[in-house]
Amino acid sequence: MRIAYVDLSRGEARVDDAPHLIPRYLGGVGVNAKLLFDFLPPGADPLGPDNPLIFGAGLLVGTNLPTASRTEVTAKSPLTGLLGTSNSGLTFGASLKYAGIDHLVVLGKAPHPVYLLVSPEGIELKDASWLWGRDNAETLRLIRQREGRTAEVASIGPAGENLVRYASIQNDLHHSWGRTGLGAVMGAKGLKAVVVKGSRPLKVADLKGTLSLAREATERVLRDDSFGYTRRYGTVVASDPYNRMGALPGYNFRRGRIEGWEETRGRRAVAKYKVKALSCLACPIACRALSRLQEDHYFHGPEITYLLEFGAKLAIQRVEDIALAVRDCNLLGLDVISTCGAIAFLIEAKERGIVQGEGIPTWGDAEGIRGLIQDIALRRGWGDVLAEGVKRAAARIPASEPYALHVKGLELPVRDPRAKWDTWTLGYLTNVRGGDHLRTRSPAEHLLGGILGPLEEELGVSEEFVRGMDMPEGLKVAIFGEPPQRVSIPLMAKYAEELITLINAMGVCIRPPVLRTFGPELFGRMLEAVVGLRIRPEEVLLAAERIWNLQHLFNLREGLRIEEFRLPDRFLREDNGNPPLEEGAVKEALHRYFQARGWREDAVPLEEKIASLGLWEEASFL
Amino acid sequence: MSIEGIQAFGELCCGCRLCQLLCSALHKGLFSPEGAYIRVQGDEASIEIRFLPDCRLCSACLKVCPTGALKEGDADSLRRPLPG
Repeated sequence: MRIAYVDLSRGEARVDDAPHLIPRYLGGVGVNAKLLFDFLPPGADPLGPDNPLIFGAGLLVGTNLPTASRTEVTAKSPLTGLLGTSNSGLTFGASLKYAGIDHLVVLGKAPHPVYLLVSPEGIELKDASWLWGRDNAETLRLIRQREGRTAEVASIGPAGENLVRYASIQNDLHHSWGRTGLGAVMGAKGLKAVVVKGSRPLKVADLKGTLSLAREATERVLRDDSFGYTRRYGTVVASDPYNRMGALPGYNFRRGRIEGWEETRGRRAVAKYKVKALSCLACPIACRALSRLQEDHYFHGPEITYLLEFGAKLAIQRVEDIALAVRDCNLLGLDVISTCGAIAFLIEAKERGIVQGEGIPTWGDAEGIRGLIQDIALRRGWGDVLAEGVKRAAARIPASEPYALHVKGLELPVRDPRAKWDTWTLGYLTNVRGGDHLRTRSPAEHLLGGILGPLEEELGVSEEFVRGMDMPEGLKVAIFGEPPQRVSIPLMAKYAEELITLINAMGVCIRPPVLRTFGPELFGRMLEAVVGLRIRPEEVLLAAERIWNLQHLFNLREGLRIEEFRLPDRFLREDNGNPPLEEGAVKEALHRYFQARGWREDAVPLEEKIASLGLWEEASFL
Repeated sequence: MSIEGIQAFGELCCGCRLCQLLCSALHKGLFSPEGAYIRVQGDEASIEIRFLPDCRLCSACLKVCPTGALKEGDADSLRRPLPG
């Protein structure tokens, strides 16, 4: 476990070996969380020099274990003031490993713009004044011109430079560490890019064992029922069911269904553009689409998020226009979800007569929306207000708060919770990074399944599937019953969070063929083969629980209040084709979740929980 | 098992480089895309697959390719080394 520390203020770099972190925090998101907790002075300004920006390759990255490509980036979020963290694939993490580094911690603030060059020869700070102000495509092109075409690049665009609170870091050009504003942290540090040129071979503890596990894990991926549709449609497979169940976030979460959706933005409507399936490193699934929209207009995607955010939340109808808006976000370095949430907030506020003036588009007005995206990145006019995120924007515009759809300051994504209350939607409240859908995902997810009450959803998978799941038997009984008959939402939320934590610590992907088939037993064997750590499945899960609790402790330390575990009123009061959620039921599910976590009613972990996780020192502020 | 030749179809390649990772592991004992005898190169829209002269035609890459971009060929098919 080699951790590189770079102090931009002093222009110094050093590398430490920290193998003792692996048994407790594994790697990726886990070690990132520990480093953030330790390095951030409590209460520090996320846009100040004391906020560490941490890149962490997953523990299995660089090997041929299927989908092991992912890197987690972590810092205190300038958007939420809480945990900021995001995950992305491609080749960046493997290149970091091949440069001999697992985690890179960037501290301080550069006196003038720089980029970091990380290679087996060491870490160099290089002048980036000539790149400042350029978009991500130009930045990537110019850096590769100078550093070689195999250089892997994580960069920010003008949005990050201008401290837009939900600026992304782009991974290559078409992929991002999108959520929670990590691009603004990078911008505040005067860090334009991290450039990695890894060329050193990666040695594992047991090569034969690793290769054997790669075969076994690949079999699991390829044989799972979800593999075929994930390869064929990628993430957009969910587009049609969302419309049917009324789960679209249409018009700022006011219309769950949109007429003509499937013909214009459904999976078949976009699949016709696909010319090729693409993969991240070491991934046999190949869920990414390369599409040709017009003769010379190639597009990486569409991903489901693009369709649901630009297509539904902002009601842009043409896929070509959605692609252009996504390209704008990639060039400027903006999180698609928060950008769309901010724009939807403003459009609705205008519609209701709360704000007026130039530069506010209407629903579906692709040109106007694209103009506003530029304004956000460059902080012009209304864009400057929206660049602060919906929570802060609503505090500045009287009576606009009902239209700011967020949890804990993070703009809510893609799916309306009124269509179906389940593990996913409880996750909007429990996710350690705020209103987001990517950290609480059930391996037995069943989008179209029914709910049996606020605490249970229908079992959407077969009994045989449950029996075969890589999951401790006792947990299966608690969550599914015996014989398996339903899914306990609060208990599954806890397990799902720990499973996703493991996935993000190991550096594999959350696509269904992995999410449904990998688990603590397989991860334990992978840990032994790759890093030589002998660990039992229950200890693997305990490490995940420790990581989750450490992230939660970080949030409590930085000021998270129990009142923030709350869905926007819209979901509790308004009918959007589906009836509003019952507030009491939501509270009951959250209460049961806290119980399952071993937390008090105010979300503070009980002493026994702290003791069982060995987090006394970290919890000493309580 | 050695084969006579390999046919490579860049237009089918998804760019996962599982072939490179496995090749380097089997023949060098380490994971290193740059240490492999097979190389996946170029822009994602137009991927080129090349073989280094040291390729022993062991055929491991064919078996691990998830998209059918590599196929067994006869001695006249795409042989090592490729131009460039």
